[in-house]
Amino acid sequence: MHGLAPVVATTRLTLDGVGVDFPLYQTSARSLKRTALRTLVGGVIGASVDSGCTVIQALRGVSLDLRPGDRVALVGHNGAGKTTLLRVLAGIYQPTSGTIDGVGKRAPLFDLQVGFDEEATGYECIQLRGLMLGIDRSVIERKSAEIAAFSELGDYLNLPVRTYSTGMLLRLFFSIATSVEADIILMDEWIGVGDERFLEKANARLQSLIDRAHILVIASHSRPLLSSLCNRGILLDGGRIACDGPLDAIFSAYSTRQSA
Amino acid sequence: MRIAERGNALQSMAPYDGWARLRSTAGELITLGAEVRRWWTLAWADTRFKYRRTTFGPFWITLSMAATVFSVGLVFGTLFGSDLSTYLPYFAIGIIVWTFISQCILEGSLVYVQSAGHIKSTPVPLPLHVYRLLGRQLILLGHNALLPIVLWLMFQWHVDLAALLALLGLAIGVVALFGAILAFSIICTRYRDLHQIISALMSLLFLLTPIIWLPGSVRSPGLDVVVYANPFHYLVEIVRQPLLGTAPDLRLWLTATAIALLSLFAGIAFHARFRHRVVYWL
Repeated sequence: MHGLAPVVATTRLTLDGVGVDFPLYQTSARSLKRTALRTLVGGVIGASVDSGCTVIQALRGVSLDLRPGDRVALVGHNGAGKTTLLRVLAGIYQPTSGTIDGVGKRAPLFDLQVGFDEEATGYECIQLRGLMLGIDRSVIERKSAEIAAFSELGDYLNLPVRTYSTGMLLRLFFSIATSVEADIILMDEWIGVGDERFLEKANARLQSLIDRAHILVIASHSRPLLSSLCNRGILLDGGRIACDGPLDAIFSAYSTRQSA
Repeated sequence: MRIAERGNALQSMAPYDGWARLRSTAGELITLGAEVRRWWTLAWADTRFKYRRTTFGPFWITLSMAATVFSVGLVFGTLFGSDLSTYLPYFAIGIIVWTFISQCILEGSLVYVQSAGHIKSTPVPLPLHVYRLLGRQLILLGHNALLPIVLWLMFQWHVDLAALLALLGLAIGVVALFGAILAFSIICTRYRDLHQIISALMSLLFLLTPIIWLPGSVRSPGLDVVVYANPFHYLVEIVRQPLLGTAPDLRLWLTATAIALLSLFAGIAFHARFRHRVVYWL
């Protein structure tokens, strides 16, 4: 698409006043019966079908501008909106208000284990994942060899993944997920896999993937990790951006809030 | 070198409306549909994995359908006093097409609910799941299609080149079902009761559609409405008639095409309007 253009200069991700509301349908509110009954008993027709159900405001008025070189740490309590924000950045949730706009290829590195059939062999997992993402067959073939080599699973890759140990599964999924090239990397906690030796290798691979990307956004509770990776922090509180700035300032703001 | 990954390209998501939205949705559906290899391979993989640890593999599909056709076919054929050499092919083709239709609708209405993990973790266009499901159902249909061939070898009824019209009939049916899946998948994700209602309706419609019985056997003028007002009747008939050696008349073709276009338009409109909400309802 833009093989010759200086991609570094164009990668960006801009959120303007983004809000995400989750309708919370309890089993009764979700059913047709409710809607039908409400209509029958003379409820206001034309009012939103969602009216009357609880809405969780996961994000409210989030505006941020990510530029090449940004290494962003997302911090905040559980439920502050970190994962939701990551999913908005990944294009999984379309904001219910506000806009998201940007340029660059994104790689969400979370929920790695989702969507694999346990009857599939390791090689088939690689192939199917590639197809799911719409990667060209020739690229899949090439990646396949590289993933096989990195995961060190050898002949196991010809066996169904249901025969794998948990550690082997993680190694495979990690190798697949990190085989992509992306401009924007999105992570929900660091992913570490394998035994001591493999872990080191995996960390190096992840680090080099991040180094090659233009933008990193990672949510984590580990300050040492965030300090080593990031140059910018965003503190989320109740779905809003409480602070956006240098990492130190964010950490101290977070500590103040926690003790308050 | 930079690897272009389709489906993950970042684009402006500013709200836009009406025709523009409809057009872009239709465009996305066409682009994805054209990537036949992508969803067809996924569909094949699903089928193979399901039967991987069995001896007969996917031919279990054919075997279980054969069991139904011969047992139910023999009982009802005898019950109605029909000639088995004409009744069995009629019933077999009817029930195979019906199974395709009802499975598409029943599984289609749950397609997003069952792919929830994927949808919430990977930014993959939703219709890919629909195409994958359609592919899976076509593979099942292909396995079942062996059965009428066996029956023809047994009974050798008259067929000519016009039998190829069945493929056109099937194509019209696929379009109709594609639209239906696009709409039902979304409604059933939002209203979880609906799938139950639909599955109850489908078993009812199986009895009301001429599959076990012949359309001509409804003689009372008021009652034939169950045949003529039943969209599934047309979708079955345009596949069954050519295979049994009669070319469907123009009225059948036109009605079936109208049903398909209506369903397709409704499905696309529904999808364009609500696709971004699906992930919130999972």
